[in-house]
Amino acid sequence: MTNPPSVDGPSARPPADPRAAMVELRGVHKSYGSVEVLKGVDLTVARGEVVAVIGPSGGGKSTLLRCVNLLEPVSAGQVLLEGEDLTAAGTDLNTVRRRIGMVFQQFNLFPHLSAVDNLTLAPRKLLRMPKDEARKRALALLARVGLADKADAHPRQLSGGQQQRVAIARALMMDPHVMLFDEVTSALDPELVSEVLDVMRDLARSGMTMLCVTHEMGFARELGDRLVFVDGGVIAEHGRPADVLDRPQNDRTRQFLRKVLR
Amino acid sequence: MPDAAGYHFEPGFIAHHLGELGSGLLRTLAISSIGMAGALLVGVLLGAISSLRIPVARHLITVYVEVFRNTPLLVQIFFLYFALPDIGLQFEGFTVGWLSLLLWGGAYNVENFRAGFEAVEGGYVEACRALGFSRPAAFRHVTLPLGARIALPSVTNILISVFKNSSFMVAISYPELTDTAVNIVAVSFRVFEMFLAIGVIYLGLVWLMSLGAGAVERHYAIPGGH
Repeated sequence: MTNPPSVDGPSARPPADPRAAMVELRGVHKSYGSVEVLKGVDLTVARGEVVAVIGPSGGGKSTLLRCVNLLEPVSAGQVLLEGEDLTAAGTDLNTVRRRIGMVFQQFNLFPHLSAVDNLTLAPRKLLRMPKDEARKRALALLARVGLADKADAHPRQLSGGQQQRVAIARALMMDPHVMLFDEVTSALDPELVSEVLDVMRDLARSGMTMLCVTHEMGFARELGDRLVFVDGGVIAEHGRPADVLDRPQNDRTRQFLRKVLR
Repeated sequence: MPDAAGYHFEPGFIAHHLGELGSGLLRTLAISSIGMAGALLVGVLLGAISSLRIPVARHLITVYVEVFRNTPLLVQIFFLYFALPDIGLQFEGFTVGWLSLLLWGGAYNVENFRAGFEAVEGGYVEACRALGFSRPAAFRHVTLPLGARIALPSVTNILISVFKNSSFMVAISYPELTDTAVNIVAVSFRVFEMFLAIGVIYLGLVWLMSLGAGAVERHYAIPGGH
């Protein structure tokens, strides 16, 4: 987070370190009653890696993301963060989640708090950060996402794109080691998508580890180190974005891409 | 102002009894302010427990709410004042006054707050948990402030009813405003003057409370909110 936003291409991003796994899913299953949504998912995200997750709706990609911070408790399997087994008994998930930033499709900003108060709530209450320091950091982050002038606005006074940028800044306030993005541009008017993608691009280039469920194939191709295609509760195909998008090996991937890339 | 029965309206009669009405009003204010504050507190606390689906406690709360919402307030007052002494629990009029109002208003407010808390969109709590807040902390920082805003109009109605229902204490001869007026009427037969006087007092106070409630609602309105 201390790196200044880069103006170079994606190649200017520090290379992902393949030896250091940030997030590791091992044989993750997730069922709701008799419905099995995830049927054994293995996925490793290296430190600094940007992984785009694509796939048809209902295929389990959002559930996969929500299993990383255990917002959805897994039915079976292991979730590891920086080598620590989060599914082990006795894990304090509240403390673990501070290291995992999450951004939602519907923004989920606290509507009764101003933008800056949305950002300072967690550091002040969870990290006991002094009010002045928290506000200073919040204003700096809001400036970074281009919203310095909206610090005292309330969420419902902002456009969807602005709200989503505040939501990203809110997650960054806790200095997360990895960021989860759950279809963060899906609820936006088309003309507001790019302002959010710009912030994510900036973040990716600063070396942030990112796991992004997305429908933005252009974004996946540009910034993704890896593309994961999830369908039927499993990772049906994965590889370099250009390879998967241009030369899909799996029938279901081919079918899906035919529909979305028309 | 003579009417068909030869009745003369005497405003001076009201002025003559202002002192007594004043002490009655003070008792009304005393039992209803304790009753309102208590009904608010009970509503928030038990409503929270109820919405968080805490086992056992939640079911006990349901019993309390059902009992007090499905029996007449007058019967509740009689029970506290006349029936409890039979099992060794003797309360004076003042205690029965605020306690019956608190229990009655509390039961309704539990439901008001529970419904408010449950109406808060799950996404806000989820965002709070994702930041690292525990379940109780997320309740305190998100569900409570948002749910209380949703509950506010119906809670206000109940609190105003608590105030108005303080007049039920006439049934146990606790000398609050209505009982005081009834007693004055009993010896003077100045029915019209007395009930006009207390009617105006109740109306004025409820009007003030509504103004206050409106100010609170505006103060806590979410900017840009629907």
